[in-house]
Amino acid sequence: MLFLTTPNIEGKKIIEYHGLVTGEALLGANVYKDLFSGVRDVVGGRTSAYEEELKKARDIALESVEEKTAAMGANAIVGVRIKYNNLGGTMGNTIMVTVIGTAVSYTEQ
Amino acid sequence: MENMEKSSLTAKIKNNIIDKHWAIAAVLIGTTVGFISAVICVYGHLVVFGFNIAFIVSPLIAGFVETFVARRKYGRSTGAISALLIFILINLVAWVFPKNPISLNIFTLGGLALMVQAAFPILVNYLLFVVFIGLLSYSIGILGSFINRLIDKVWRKPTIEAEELRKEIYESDESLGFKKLELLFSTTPDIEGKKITGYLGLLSGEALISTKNSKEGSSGLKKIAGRKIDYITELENARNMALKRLEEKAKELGASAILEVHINYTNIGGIKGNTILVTAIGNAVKY
Repeated sequence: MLFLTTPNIEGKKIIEYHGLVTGEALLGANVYKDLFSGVRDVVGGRTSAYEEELKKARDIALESVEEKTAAMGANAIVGVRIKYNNLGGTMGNTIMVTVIGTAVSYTEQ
Repeated sequence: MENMEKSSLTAKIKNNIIDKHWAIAAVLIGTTVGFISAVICVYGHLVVFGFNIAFIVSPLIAGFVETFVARRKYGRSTGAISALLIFILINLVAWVFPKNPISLNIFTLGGLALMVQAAFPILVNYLLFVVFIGLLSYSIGILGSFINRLIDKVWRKPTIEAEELRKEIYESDESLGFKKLELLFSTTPDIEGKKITGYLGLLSGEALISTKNSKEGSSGLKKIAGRKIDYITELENARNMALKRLEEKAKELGASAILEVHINYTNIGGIKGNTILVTAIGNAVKY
């Protein structure tokens, strides 16, 4: 599936717009991972445990978008945006990854 | 060759020392003052609850003096190295070579905590405020959910199974879903092959959800009248509601499409943050 952040596909013609597609993934950050990432915030350095989790959540959201797009009969998603939202208040232990885009069908010009 | 390298290396080290002589002086002054204060405390028998105040005061004084000198002369803080040195020194003297050994009681433990706090403020404050309170609220959460489950089992007999309810919600989700949106929604700024004939302005649709008591353990399940549903379904419902409201407004204006749609999830519940505002914004256009 073609994922694009641009509104058009150069060299291709968009023939049909199928509407919005969205995908979400919630990341309930583990307390212990949180703890160590906090220590690393103080000490400095990358928190790879968090990075892995974020990547996983993003992949899940993108996959669900891809599935929905395929179900609509579209062959590309344009204007894709990925957002990370914090839903957990001060403790911040729920992170939501949302993907939104427009499902389109395109043909060779 | 080797000699050249060696001499350049020593020159580098020399330059480095000259560059940082005020920083080194600050550390030395801080350490000296801290040491003097410790000696005064020990020989003056400044003891509170069987605990010499040197443990707490000396690292603090050393750190303060060092930072003061460093700020004045060196330009920036040196990170209270002398406080650490004094801390290690005093502890070596007190624990390894005890003349009159420290007895562990609640006051000495409290003093110890204070002493460690004075020496490593960032780490200890982090442990105190984030880790301790985090673990406390986490364990209270687990206890709460356990009690809830117990009460559920003993008193309440669920009339609707969780699966059924989930289905119900997914169906209602369908009724608000994208298939039921009549206008064309797009995240792109234009529609290829169509000409936009009029812009009707910026429109928005909002929906609020409360996530009160939503953190049941780490599973992120929400309880509604004793039943559990997925948190994400809740969010999807709110999002669809926001889009539906956006569409209604657009229809009133006679729009045929909504372009550049943005969906935002904002946490608006203050410190505990248990209300989430979902907003959908877009440009209503005619094509």
